[in-house]
Amino acid sequence: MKDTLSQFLDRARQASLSEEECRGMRQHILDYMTLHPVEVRVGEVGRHQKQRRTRRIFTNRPIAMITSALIALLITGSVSYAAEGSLPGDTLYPLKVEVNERVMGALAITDEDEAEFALSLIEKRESEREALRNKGKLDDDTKIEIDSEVSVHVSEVESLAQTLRDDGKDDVATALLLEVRALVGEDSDDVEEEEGVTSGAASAEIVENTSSNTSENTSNNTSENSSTNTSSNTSNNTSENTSNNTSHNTSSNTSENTSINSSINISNDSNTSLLEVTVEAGVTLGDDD
Amino acid sequence: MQEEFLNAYEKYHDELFRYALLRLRTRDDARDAVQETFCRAWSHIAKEGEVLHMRGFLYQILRRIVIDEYRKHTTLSLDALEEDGGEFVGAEPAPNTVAESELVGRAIATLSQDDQSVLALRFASGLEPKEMSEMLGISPNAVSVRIDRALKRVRTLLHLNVHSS
Repeated sequence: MKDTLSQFLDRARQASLSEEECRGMRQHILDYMTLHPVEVRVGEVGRHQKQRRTRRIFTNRPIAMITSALIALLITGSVSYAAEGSLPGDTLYPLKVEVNERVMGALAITDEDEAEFALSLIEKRESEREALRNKGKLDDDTKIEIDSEVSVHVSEVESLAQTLRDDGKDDVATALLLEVRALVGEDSDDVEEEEGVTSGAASAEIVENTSSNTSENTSNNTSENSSTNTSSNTSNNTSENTSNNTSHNTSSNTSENTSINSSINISNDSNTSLLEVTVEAGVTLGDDD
Repeated sequence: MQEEFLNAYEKYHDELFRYALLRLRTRDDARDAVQETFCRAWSHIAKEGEVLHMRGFLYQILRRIVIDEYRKHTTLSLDALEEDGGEFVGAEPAPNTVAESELVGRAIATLSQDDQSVLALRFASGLEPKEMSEMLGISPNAVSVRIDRALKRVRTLLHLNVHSS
């Protein structure tokens, strides 16, 4: 039995392919190789790139990213929170304007978002001005600073409104412009100049808009509606005021103007009080005369 | 790279064929298995680049092909194979040894895959225990022990066969 096994294994050892078989198989393998060529270049380059890329991602970048993210978190997390309540002249105020607001601004993607953001900045500046005035810290320098800031944002909104108008979003653009007017009022003279020309047309448009809105589209966004309403009122108001102002001596009562302004800002909340304010303003102006 | 691969073919096709023949027992199957082995090896090399241990790599592929082949034929009983006449053809076996070698072949075929593989590597391919130990990742001693055990099992099977027939 041992013999059979060893014989078997010996023979197994001696078996081989015939020369013909060997050549046939070789040919077959050659054919296969030509059909499946080596992708040396692509493969090697690809692998190198992959390695380099992964190395970059897994060594250098994460540290930089993590640290920068941590720093950003630390700054925005603690300091920026404190900075949020700061006023012009405070130590943290530059941080509020340069960091916090830029970060928030980066989050605005669409034109509408950006315009809304610029509007919120105008609102902030105005409330800062208000706060400073209440504290009695509103000196001429900060006034000018705030004015320039506001005018920058106003021009931002205006250019964005123009692009929106170009995109066929007329009503959004108008609403934005009117909101700006409502916020800024007739603070600076150059805005005032424009006001006389544009706001007349704008308010006319709004009257049309609101009437069509109420009669046809009840499904319309209410917030937009209300905003257009208030702004239309104020713009009416401002156009009135401007006509008043132009007839009056403007240089005599700048303080008067600002006080009217503030009352308008407050009255933005409700339409009815706004009307009253308009009347009041008219009365005060008339009295003043 | 192509040349290298063809050199490997020249160098290893015989021992791979013997391995396949011991495992699969028919020339045709063994030849197909070897051909398939080289094709698979090439497509791997073409995609992934060169292989460090060509010999081990080829055996690894061949072993897988053989196991697949076994799975395909598990429905075939040994009796059916016997009726086919058993095609095992070594180097010109004497007519009276055909039946005996068929018996041995069948006995080996009933061993576990590992045992068969060890026997085929050692006796058909003619690898030394040291070479096998590198390929299988175990010590040369362990290889020798495995070979001895596998041989013992075959002998036991053959004894049983003789006694039963």
